[in-house]
Amino acid sequence: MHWIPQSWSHLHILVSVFPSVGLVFTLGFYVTAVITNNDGMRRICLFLFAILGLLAIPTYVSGDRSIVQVSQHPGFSEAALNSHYGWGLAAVAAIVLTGLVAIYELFQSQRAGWAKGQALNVVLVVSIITLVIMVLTDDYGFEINHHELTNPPRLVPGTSAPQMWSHVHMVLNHFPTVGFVIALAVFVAALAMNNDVMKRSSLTLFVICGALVIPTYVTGTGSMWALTQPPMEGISKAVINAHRDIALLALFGLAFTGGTAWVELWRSRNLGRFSGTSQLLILIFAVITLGILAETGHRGGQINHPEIHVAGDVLPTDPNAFWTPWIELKINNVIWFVPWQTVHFFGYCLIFGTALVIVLRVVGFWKSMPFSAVHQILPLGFLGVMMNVFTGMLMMLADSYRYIVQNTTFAPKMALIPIGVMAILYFSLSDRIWQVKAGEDAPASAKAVAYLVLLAWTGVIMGGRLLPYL
Amino acid sequence: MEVFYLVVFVCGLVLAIDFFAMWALNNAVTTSGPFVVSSPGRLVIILTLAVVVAGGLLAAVQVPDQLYSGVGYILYPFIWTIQKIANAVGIDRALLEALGDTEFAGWVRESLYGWATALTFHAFGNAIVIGLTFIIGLRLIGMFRAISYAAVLRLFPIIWFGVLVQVLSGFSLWMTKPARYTGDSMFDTKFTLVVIGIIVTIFFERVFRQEAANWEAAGAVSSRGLRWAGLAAVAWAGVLVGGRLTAYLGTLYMQ
Repeated sequence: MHWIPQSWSHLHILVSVFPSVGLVFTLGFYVTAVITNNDGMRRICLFLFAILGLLAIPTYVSGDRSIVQVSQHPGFSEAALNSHYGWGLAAVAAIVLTGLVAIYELFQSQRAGWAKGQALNVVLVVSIITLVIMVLTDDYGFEINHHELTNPPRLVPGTSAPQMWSHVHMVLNHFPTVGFVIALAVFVAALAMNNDVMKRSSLTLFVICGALVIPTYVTGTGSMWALTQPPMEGISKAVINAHRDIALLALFGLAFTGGTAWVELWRSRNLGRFSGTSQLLILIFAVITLGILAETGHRGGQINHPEIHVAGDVLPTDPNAFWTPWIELKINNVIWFVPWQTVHFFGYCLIFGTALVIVLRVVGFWKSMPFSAVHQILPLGFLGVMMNVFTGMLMMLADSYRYIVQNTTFAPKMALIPIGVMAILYFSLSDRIWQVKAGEDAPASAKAVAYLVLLAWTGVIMGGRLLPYL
Repeated sequence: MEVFYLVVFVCGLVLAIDFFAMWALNNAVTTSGPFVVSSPGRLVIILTLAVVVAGGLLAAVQVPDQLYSGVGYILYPFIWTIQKIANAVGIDRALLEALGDTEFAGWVRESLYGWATALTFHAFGNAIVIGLTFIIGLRLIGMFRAISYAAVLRLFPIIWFGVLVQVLSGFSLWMTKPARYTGDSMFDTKFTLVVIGIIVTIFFERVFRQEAANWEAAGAVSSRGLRWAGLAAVAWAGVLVGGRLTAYLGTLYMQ
């Protein structure tokens, strides 16, 4: 079973992302629990903080042993190892402290009902400080063997892609993956405890992961160009393509799980309850997607981590042996490009039309309608987003160098998509906007979100339409 | 011509899936009884799926070009009428070339921002017209029943705003090479569909205004209203497909 790490460095790479990236999402859930005053969710978050604190042990031990292992490899900088080790010690101490404070808080709350605000603040402050130390530690960690970041190869104008793509991809790819694990853990706990706030929060995180996977996939493709043009020593296009194949599946798995979660959030907002069948479906999709994500991460790690290769590893050698190059070739042909592009155009019409109608109601144009009536139109925009994620990624694959490296409007377009998706979540999550009746004004916060939605999707469409010209 | 059949097949299939998804989602949250498709509605769905399947089959097998031309013949009477009107009011090749030589046409054609700005506005005009026409169409066949017909009427001025944006931006784009655009068969087809779309929308809005109160009272839309809603959706969808095919099938950009 190749997913089980067979070296200390492999274990370290795998485990170390959980305390850092996991902390971001756990903090998000914790803040939600405090705001919604949900006791069950607060307890789960404290439990998660404690787990993250415990993970510091395998992270430290594997890191410590890795140093011995990797220092035998030529090309691993001793200075970078020392900096990472120093900050790593501080990070381990901080996350252990966060875990201990969380355990103390958990016991206190068991004994005397829910705890005092001061203790909550301690958990928050300690975990935020820990997060800052973690960010610094991770960045020093990247520098150990990712020399392309610290000492990038010379850019050949018109040929090379900047290493910024690899850097952003390395940071970004951990968010939909680790976030997905946290979302699944909270979702399972929510099902077991039948806690609606936890269900809503985990479904929201599934949607956020589904939105984040789009820029993750795109930056991954950008990294491919950065690492292969001009070719770099030790980087194999065949190994990259093996990763890209499964990454495409992961993209659709995350988008599908996120999409199903969004539908359930929308549906439950209308009916005031969750559907057992939908929850079971989401759970099944999430478990399958998790398996795909694990394999994606494993194949991604093999691209630029020679220290995790073991004797039995058989790495691919034929760069044309995978189906991503086949899709690239197929969609690049006008016969297939035009139909999918036409679907993409229908998709943006559905997205913009829906966003416009919702925004017009929120800002006061369509006040004769209660917000709940307009909310029913939202799935039309959702279907537009799903259509365009599918067709857009296929078209991007067909001509990725031009889109990613040569065009100036593609990167902002990709950055705006998650913002547009996450902003739309507000309309199914906010209680205040849901209670806006016919003739009533929407709250100012809803108006601000509405303008953000309109701006984000306007930017996305402009970024796409101007692709061939700027 | 394979591209044309594939566009019909792929777009038709995706939009049909969207329609059924909206149907299921609408019924999942409705409080006033599920949305049931009437017998004529069922016939429309069957016909749409038949067109989709035919598109797929024609794309898969080699068919003579005459069949594709046959699709054009359906629109030919409209194209012929528009050409006759243009000739009658004195629009000839010399005038078109003179339009292409104006300073404005040169700015749109040659400056980076001219073409990009006109194209961006064209995209948004498109999104407003198609997006809102589809929303109104879905409301009329029985979805989003919490939205009153009177409220839906307020969307028409926005559609007209979208049409105005499309016409102005489209005219700017067309002015960059009017003589060449006008001679291109795909562009002629698309332009004809735009004219049909505008005429259909005028009638659709008029029927809507006349009958909205009756629909509200009866709790159902008349078959006349449904017919115009369907025609408007098909015409504007045709404009979008025509626009995409103008870029790839015509002679304008394939040099």
